[in-house]
Order: sequence, then C-alpha cells, then structure tokens
Amino acid sequence: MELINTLIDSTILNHTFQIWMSVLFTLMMLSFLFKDNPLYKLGENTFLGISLGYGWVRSWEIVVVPFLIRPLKDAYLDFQPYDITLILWLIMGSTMFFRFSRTKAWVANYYFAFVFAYVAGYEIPVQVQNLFVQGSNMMKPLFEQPSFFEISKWFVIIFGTFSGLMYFFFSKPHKGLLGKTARVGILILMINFGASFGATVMGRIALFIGRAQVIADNYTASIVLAIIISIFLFIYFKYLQKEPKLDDEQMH
Amino acid sequence: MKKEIPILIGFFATIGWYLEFFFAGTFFENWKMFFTTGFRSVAIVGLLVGVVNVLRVNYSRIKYNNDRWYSIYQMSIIFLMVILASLRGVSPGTPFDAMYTFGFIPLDATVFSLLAFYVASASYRSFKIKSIESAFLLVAAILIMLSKMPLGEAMWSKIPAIGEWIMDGPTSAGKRAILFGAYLGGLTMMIRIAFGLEKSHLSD
Repeated sequence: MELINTLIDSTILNHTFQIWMSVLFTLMMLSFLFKDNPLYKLGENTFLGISLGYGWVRSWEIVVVPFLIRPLKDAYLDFQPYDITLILWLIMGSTMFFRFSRTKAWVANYYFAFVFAYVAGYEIPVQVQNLFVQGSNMMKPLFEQPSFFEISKWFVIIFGTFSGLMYFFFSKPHKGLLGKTARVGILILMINFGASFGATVMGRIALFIGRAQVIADNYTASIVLAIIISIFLFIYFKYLQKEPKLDDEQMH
Repeated sequence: MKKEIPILIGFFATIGWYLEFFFAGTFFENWKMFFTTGFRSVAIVGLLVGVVNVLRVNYSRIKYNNDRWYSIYQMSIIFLMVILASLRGVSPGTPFDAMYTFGFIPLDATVFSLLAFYVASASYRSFKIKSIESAFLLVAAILIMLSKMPLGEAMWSKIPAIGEWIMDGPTSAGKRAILFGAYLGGLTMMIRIAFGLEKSHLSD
C-alpha cells in the first residue's frame, strides 16, 4: 500500500509529470492531422477511459448510492410494506437487460415505454412554456428601444422570425405574398447558418489557441515529446505499418 | 402483450403529472411520487446497463482480436480511475481529479480543436457562391469570424458592432423560427407518445 501511495504521489500528483502528460496528450491527438496512427488511437482510448471512469465513479456517488444502495440497505434492515414498490421498480428496470437478448428484446419495451412516457409527461408543459417564453422574449416594446441600432434589431427579429416560420409553413403553396415572405425567411435562415458556422469555427480556433499556448509555455516538454513522436511516426509508417486487409466487398 | 401493457403503464405514468392539478388529495400526490420514484429507480438500472454494455463491447473486442490492445488499455484506464477514486476519494487535489484535469481536459480540448482544421478545409472546398442564399451564408460567416478576432477591428472599427447586430438580429430570428418548429414538433411527439400513438421506440 505504501508503495502504491508513493507511486501515485511521484507520478499523477507530481506537477512536472502532470505538465508532461498534458503536453503528451495534446501532441498525440494533434498527430491525427498527419494521418490516423497508433498514438492517436492511444489518446482516443485514454479519452474514453478517463471519461467513462469519471462518469462511473461520479454516477456511483451521486446517483447509485443515495437512490439505490441506501434505500435497499434500509429496506433490508427495517422492511416496510412500501419497500415492495422499490423492488417492483427495480424488476421493471431490469427488463432493460433483455435488450442484449436477440429473441426476448421485446421485454425491454416495459422499460422504454415507461421512460419515454414519463419524460413525455414532464416535457409537454415544458415545451408549451418554451413556446411562450420564446414568444414573449421576442416581442419587446418597440418604443422602449434605446437606439436606432436596437430598433433595427427589433424589426429584423419580429419580421425575420415571422418570415422564417412562413418558410416552414407547407399547408399552402409558396406563391404570391407567402412565397416572397418565405424567400425572405430562407435568407434569414441562411444568415443564421452562416453566423452559427462562423461562431463554431472561432470557438474551435479558440480551443486550438489554448492548446498551442500550453505547448508554447512548456517548450522543453513540447520539443522533446514532439521529437519522440515524430521519430515514432516515421518508424511506424516506414517499417511497422501493415497493409490493410481486403474485406469481402473489396475482394469482389 | 408485447406493446399494449407497456403503453398502458406509460399512459398512467404520464397522467400522473397532471392529475394532482385537477384532483386534490394525497392519493394523486402519492400517484405522482410513485412514478417519480419509479423513474429514478429504472434510470439507475439504465446506468448499470450502460456499464454492462461497455464491459460487453470491450470483452468481445478483446475476444475476437478487434483492436484488442486498445480495448485492454481502455479498460485499464477505466479501472485505474475507479481504483484512484476508491483509494484517495474524488475531491479537488486528489489523483482522480488530477487525471481529469491533466488527462481529460487536454484530450477533450485537442479533439475539438482538431475540428477547426477539418471545418476550414471542408468549407474551402464546398463554399461557393452559386446563389443569393449561399452568398448570404458566406458573408455572414466571414463577418462573424472577423468580428471575433482582433484583425476585424483593425480592418474597420465597426466590424465588431456589425457582428453583434448579425448575432442579435437575423441569427436570433432564424434560431427562433427553427426553435418554434422544434418545440411544436416536440410537443406533438410527446403527446403521441403519451397516448400510445407513437410506437417507434418499442421493438416487436
């Protein structure tokens, strides 16, 4: 036990090790820009492993122990008639395991029908509320707008939303006034898609700048690891990479 | 039997949300509580099914040598996280937390930053002004990108304000038009599920 604690303290809790680990993972993932390679796959599996392990542990602490283990333990120590409901629900929840069966997968219908319908019951008022919230947020008083800039936004929001909705209105052919309104709606939607695209690209570039800063701030680790990764990739692609096997479709 | 009884259980679970609004009394409050407790319990079993599924998928990958070593590695990382949490806990400053901060966060940020290159490359190949609509899309995208970088402001001081106007005006309008449709569609779907008219989530 002492050995394990020392090992943890000198690796995972060691600041230098943490910095090198962070830079290594960044460079491993960036190596995909060259080609798909084992280092990228290793990084990918680390990502999956840490996120799954983190999710399991947090779920165990926050959900499973307080809402399953503790009630079951209480029922075991001091059984009350209403504890039967917990057992019945657990039996119904367990029908989900039949999803793994090829012939009895329909048993999981009990699980899905209940979960979907329960969530639907919860969501119906939420969706109605969302509609009203969106509507009321959209319709702010025109004469309370402080500047021409805000007034122009007000007009674009009101008429843009209306024309966008007209584009999705298929109960009448898009001709005449409806057709022209729908055409404006398309343009509004296109601006929306373009702006969303631009914002997404800038978000991704901001993330990349963050990673580049980590690499630049820790240049010793970055240079050493980049050289090692480059040598590995050279050796791998030159000598170790196997030819991909032809699958049945390619052979025919 | 395969669909009718599950749908009936689902219907009773749905109306549990509304009965207490119309009928006073502990019976209907308990009705809602009964299904709420039930949902929590079955959701926990769903989590356990997820855990079993991860183990199952990795087991079959190891057994049939489908990227065997990557699966072994992935499973060992998962168990390392579990062991670290059980040895030293999960509070900030523990090895479990350090794995998240210095392992997960760099990997997550790098994976998403990789998309910047692929999105840029894909847009370079596919963005062509062939119509008024595509021109609007491209101009909006360029203005938003310029407004979010110092170069835009250096080119013309009004560009950040134009970017803000596009985000608050037409983009907000377009998003609202889509959201209204999505909310109405969602509402319709929820009502169909509640009354058992929608059965696509159930298997035969």
